[in-house]
Amino acid sequence: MSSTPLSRAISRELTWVALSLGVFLFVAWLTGLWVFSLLAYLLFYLIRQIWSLYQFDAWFRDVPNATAPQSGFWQELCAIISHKQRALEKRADLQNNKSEQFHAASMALPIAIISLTKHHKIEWFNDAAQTLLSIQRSDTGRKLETLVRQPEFIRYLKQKEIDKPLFLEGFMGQSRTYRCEIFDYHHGHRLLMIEDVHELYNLAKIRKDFVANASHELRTPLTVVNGYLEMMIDMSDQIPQLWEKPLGQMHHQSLRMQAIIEDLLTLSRIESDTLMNTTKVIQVSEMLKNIEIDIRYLYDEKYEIDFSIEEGLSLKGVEEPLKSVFTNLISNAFRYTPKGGRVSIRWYSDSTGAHFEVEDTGIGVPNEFLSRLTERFYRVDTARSRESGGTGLGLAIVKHVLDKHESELKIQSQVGKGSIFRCDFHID
Amino acid sequence: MQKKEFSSHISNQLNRNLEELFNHILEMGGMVENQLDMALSALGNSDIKIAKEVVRFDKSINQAEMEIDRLCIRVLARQQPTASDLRLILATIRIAIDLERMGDEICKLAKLVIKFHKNEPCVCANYAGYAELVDITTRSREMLKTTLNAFARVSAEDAMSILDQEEVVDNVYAKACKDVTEQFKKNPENVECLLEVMTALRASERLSDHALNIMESIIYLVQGKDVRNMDQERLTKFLEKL
Repeated sequence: MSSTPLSRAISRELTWVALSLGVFLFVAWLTGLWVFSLLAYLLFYLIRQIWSLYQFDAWFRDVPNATAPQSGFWQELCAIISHKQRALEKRADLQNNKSEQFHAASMALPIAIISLTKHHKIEWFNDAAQTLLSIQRSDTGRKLETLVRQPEFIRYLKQKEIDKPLFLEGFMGQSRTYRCEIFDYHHGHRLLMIEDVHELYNLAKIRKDFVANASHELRTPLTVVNGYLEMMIDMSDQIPQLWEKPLGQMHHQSLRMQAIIEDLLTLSRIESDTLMNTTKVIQVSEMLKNIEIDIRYLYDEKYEIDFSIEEGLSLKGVEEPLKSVFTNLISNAFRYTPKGGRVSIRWYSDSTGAHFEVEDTGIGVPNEFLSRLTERFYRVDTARSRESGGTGLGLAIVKHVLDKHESELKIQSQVGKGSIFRCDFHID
Repeated sequence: MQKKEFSSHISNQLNRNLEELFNHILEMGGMVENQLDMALSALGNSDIKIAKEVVRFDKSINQAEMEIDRLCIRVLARQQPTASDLRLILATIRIAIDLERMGDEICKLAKLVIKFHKNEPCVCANYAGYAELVDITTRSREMLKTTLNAFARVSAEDAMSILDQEEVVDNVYAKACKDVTEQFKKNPENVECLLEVMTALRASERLSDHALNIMESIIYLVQGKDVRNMDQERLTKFLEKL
């Protein structure tokens, strides 16, 4: 190994000591004053070290015109220190540059961002926040709620645990919709983000209204078409045989369309909350027993059906939508399970809450499609689903109803083996 | 007085109480602002549902005033504050009273919407003085916001702009009164409706007066000077010095 700076310094110092000691010893030998020479040498060495220390101190404190000590190991020591210091300075520069860049980026964001302390005192904010909330740089350190006084906002700010964003219609005297969200970050600090979502909000509203209105308007003409078709099928003896099959298909398709429209209407009713405003305690075990009777009547010969229902386990919620959740999940299981398969339905409770579970030995869903299953009209296999007569809205309804019940749909599935659909409910 | 934090006292309790008081008054201000916003939207859209909500909301504002009174009494009785702290208490009591009155006036505005709706489903916007009514109310809303921000920042810098606004409001009010009086003469059959408009106009004009009162309390808090009885000239001079 080549010598390290320190070992170099030591060898340098030792060389110096050996040389100077040699000179003194020579002088002592010449004069014969051994003890005196040795003392003089020690004194000389001491003075030299103290002088170097003094020089080092001046250099280290950046006194102008001070130079680093040149003698012995002091020189090496100074070289090491200045090298290290340069590296540190470079790193600090880099960090500084990075944090400045970060600062500039947060300033340029179009979303209003404000950093707050635990007690909602303003720490820093970006330009968007400055314009939106009309706060000034001098407001740093003030409590945010003294400047943004909307009662709804203050209530949101004072919440201990914030889990969902707040939508404010009309904020700071502007009639637009804003989305506020607070995140905890970095040891008790809080980050408040306010975003203008007026366009998005309006768009969602328009979409909802459109779906509701359109389905409603479509229902009436379809009922008429359907009625006449039924009449024509009933009078099949008066109709040429050529038309029998087309009429049957027309009837089948119009029924399908009707089912889709009914589901769309249910969905938009759930979304607009008209269905969901009266919650009460529901005897789920009773409800499931009634469903069981229907299911056994329909499928008992073709499938192995297993119902296990915990007696008396009830739930707080809304009856009609919840029933549609259960029937949707159960009929899905039968729809995607080949004849002779097994479907088991469980309603049980444990320490985490109440659970409704449907397990089948059906065709299963490939993993990559699981997250998209609850989208409207989403089909894994388009051709097969149409055949089996689904509307494509069942799971969307399930998802929305469960959302309103603060529950979630969990899906486990293996292609070819079967799937498990489970809803977890909280019980108080 | 440049007070940014309530931490200058040895007594922690006093610091806490004063800060609580400070936050309470601004929270109450926020409620009145909210009520005024709702009233404005009720006026603009003749929305009777919002108007009724405005009237209901007044109760919680009254409660907030009582709460502030209670806090003030507690601080006065227990800690006997002096100097700027005492001024803060006095200003707070005054501001709370003004805010509560504002709440009452805003209720009057909302009641106009309700009454018009009851009498006949007419659009109030057709009556004389209606545009001015909305104008004055909007200006009062801005004035209230400015004053409350001034209180939050404990600075009286914006006092001048409030004074200017108040002058504009007075002019608009005078013009509206003239219009309504003319309508009284022209269409005597509309007397009831016009009377309602008159009441609402006065209420909205009072709103701006209360906002001005609050600003005076803030100047008292910041400068320790009572400007309530100053005449126009002296007041302008005083404010220019700020």
